[in-house]
Amino acid sequence: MKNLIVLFAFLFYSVLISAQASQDPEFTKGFILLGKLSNGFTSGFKSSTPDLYLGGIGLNPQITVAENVLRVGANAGMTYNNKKLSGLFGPMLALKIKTLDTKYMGSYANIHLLAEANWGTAKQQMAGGGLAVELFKKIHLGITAQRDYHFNTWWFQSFIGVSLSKSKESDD
Amino acid sequence: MKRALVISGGGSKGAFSVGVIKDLVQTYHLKFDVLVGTSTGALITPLAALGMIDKLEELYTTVDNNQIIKKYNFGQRVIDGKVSIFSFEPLKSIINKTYNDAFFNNLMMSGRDLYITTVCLQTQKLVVFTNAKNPVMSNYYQVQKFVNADQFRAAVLASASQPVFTPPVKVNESVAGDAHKDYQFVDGGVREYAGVAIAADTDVSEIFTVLHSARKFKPAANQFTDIFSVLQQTIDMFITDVSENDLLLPFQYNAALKYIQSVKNNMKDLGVSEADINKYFTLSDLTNRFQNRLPLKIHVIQPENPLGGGPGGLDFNPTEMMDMLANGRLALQSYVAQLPPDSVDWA
Repeated sequence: MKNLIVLFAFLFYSVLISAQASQDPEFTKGFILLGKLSNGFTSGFKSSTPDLYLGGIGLNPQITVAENVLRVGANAGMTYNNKKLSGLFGPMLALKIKTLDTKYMGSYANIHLLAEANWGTAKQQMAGGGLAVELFKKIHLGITAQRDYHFNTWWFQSFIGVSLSKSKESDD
Repeated sequence: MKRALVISGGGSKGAFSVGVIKDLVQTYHLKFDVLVGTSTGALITPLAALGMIDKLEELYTTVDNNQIIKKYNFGQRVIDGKVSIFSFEPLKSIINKTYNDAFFNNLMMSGRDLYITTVCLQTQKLVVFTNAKNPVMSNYYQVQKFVNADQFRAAVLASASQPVFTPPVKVNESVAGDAHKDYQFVDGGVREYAGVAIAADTDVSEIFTVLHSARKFKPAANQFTDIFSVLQQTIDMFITDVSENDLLLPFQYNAALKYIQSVKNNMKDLGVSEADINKYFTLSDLTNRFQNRLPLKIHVIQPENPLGGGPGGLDFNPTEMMDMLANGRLALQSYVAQLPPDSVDWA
């Protein structure tokens, strides 16, 4: 865990330095609201629990706290697993690690790391992370892995997110 | 002898012009009565008009992309239906700071006639904004006098605004009573890359034109394998073509003036009196462009090889711009070196 924190701090610092060196159109100041659709499975690996389908929908508001580097936000959604619906809620972080840029025309996407913790109405207690691509500031595609410490299972999901908030960037 | 300075468009390549102007002013002690600026030329000529060469050099060797344009996510701009890929907020700040109200008042009282070229998106006309008390008139372009400092700054910004890349500007928004406050203006280079024809319409005898396109054409050795490299090459071709066309008409006009002058000299040699020659060449049409005009001296200074600076000169790299400035000084020196002896009175 300590190593993970050191790694996260190192990444945060490196990305902050590189973001300050040049104009970066990704992870700009402001608020975004994502509508998310996720799909995957839960697995207990060597336990007797079989792998089970996992699907869900949710909302994910995020606000930029370190421009071009870090957003914090929250997850709130419904998930279907093991023939049961449950609610999931929790905080999340998004750390931008790469801006995908054209040479002269600005950016078109970014790649960021995700860290999140979720608590569920069916007593889930989860923590994990993932990797996502944000395309045209409209579409988010990603994969996440979370460990449920209460039920000793892993949640593997891919997701697609669509930005529901309107851009406030100026024209002139 | 009245002189004009014409600076063409080209974004960061304007550093080349600054190098040329620096030597024209500081080495050859030239002053210009008429200045015509297009795009980056519109940013340069107001400072050149007031002789602020050090400020010009500072601007064109220190600013970088972050101080000129604001970049965005390209796809988001397209999806959101924005009017341009970049915005001009940083350049707007530089213009507001440099061309403040005091600067505008000095310009209006300077006795130098400044012409800034723009194109109106609504009318598709070339519109020239000026501080001249008695501006030139032409069927080819419309002329509007500066009414206030805000309009002047907006005209400079509009002239520098390359359509699609940067947003159009409502130049007359601050003009009380203007019937078309919402009209949008962009880079004059869309129709007139170098305003030589405008300078030729004034009463100057000598025109210094600085172009940023390369004199020598070298076929590109590389393949164009992506959208952006094709776009860059297309913009370069567009600029080269427009600059060649812009020079064609003034040179033909000047060739006609030289021909008329030669005919007059021949008539004089054959014993026709000066008074009779004047009668032959004087028409009742006072607007005739050839009447009472002597041939112009037109100097064209341009780089031998491409200057760089990205598509349309939209890449502002201070190191590269310092080289461009030095390149401008060298280009002027080699131009002066090849002038026939006694052809000009300043070198």
